[in-house]
Amino acid sequence: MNTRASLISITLVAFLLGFLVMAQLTTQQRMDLKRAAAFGADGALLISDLVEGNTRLRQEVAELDAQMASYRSATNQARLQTMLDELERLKMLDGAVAVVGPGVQGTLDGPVTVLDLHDLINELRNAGAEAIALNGRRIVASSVIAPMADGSIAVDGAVARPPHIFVAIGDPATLEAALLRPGGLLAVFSNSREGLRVSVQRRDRIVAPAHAPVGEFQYAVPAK
Amino acid sequence: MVIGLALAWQLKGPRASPPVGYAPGDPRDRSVRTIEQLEAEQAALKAEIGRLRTDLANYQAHAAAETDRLQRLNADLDAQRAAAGLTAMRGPGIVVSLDDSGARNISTSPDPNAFLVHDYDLRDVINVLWLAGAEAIAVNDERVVGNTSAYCVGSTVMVNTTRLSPPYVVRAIGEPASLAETLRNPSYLTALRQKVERYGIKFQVAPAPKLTLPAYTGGFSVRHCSSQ
Repeated sequence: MNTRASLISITLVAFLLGFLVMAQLTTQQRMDLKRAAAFGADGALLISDLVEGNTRLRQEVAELDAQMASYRSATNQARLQTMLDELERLKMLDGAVAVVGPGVQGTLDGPVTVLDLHDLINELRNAGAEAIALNGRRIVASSVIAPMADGSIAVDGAVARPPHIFVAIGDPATLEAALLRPGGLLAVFSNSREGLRVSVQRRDRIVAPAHAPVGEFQYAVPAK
Repeated sequence: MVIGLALAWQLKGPRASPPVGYAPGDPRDRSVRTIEQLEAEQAALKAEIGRLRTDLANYQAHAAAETDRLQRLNADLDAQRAAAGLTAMRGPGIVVSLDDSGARNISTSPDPNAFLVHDYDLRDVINVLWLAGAEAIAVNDERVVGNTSAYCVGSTVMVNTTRLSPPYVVRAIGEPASLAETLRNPSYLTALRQKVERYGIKFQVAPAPKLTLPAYTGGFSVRHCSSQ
């Protein structure tokens, strides 16, 4: 082995080692110093960095706040509520849900015809009834009151026997007046139907049950 | 090694000079406090950004779910509107025409009303059409909906509080053959059939391959109702 060459190697390694040790020490020292901000130049630099950084952070906060606000006021939320309200209203109207409210309750006790019951429903609708039920069954647009083969009456397929109890939700005074007016429906019934006793009372709280779901359209499609 | 140490010592420059002790109240003390305040502010801002990002992510997930919900809700609304008669509908069906009698002896008849089409005739026809499976019905251009009433005012019939004049044309969408068959069933429309035979009331039924019924355009009131 060449003694000169190995001496140069050792010297170089020692030199490098020394350099690295010192560099490490210096870095460590600089960080400690920076933390302590012991020197004007370093401190000023650090402060300006922090101020600048915090400004950027504040801008980010403002940006996120703005996004949040736009989400909060998003039309989605408002539209959703409007649509939910409208859906609820439609369901109340077409009998998809049970409804409650003031109105009238009445009884037709005795023999009646299919046309008599049509007249009754028609009169209640005409007087502004918002929901109608006959013998505990909700009457909807497509409800059918029809004669059965044995002469009895069916309301939406279910046999309806007297006494026929009807309820209607709406303005109680208007509904009552429409039924009781002179020459009105109940007057005609009680005068011209043998053995038929009629009565009607206002009620603060009438419950009209939901109608069974009406089937899907098979022949009709929206004409849009 | 010593040379290396010395060289590195030289290279590190003036910035590495040690902090020779300074007195309290020194300007450097103030800058330490400033830095501490700024660092505290930075930590608070970062915490706030973290919180906001989490909130936003939650909100976006919620909004995405709401968009799904909006779409489903829209479909529900379309279905309910169609069911309530608020949508114009087309399809095959049947056309029923009703007209007053053309008989000339109306004034001498014991009951002139027997020669006219009445509200109850229309109601009976509508009822039988629903029974036959009609999916949508209109009288002239008035769609029959949940609050539709038909009543006579003088010699005309009001439907949806709109005055209609004869002939009354009832159009129904549904299976044409079964609609026609139910209308022919002698168990139904007995009063109308008698008037057709005795007094010449006009009652005609014709299948229609393609009908378009208008949407209901009247009002709906839900002032007294609320859902349970």
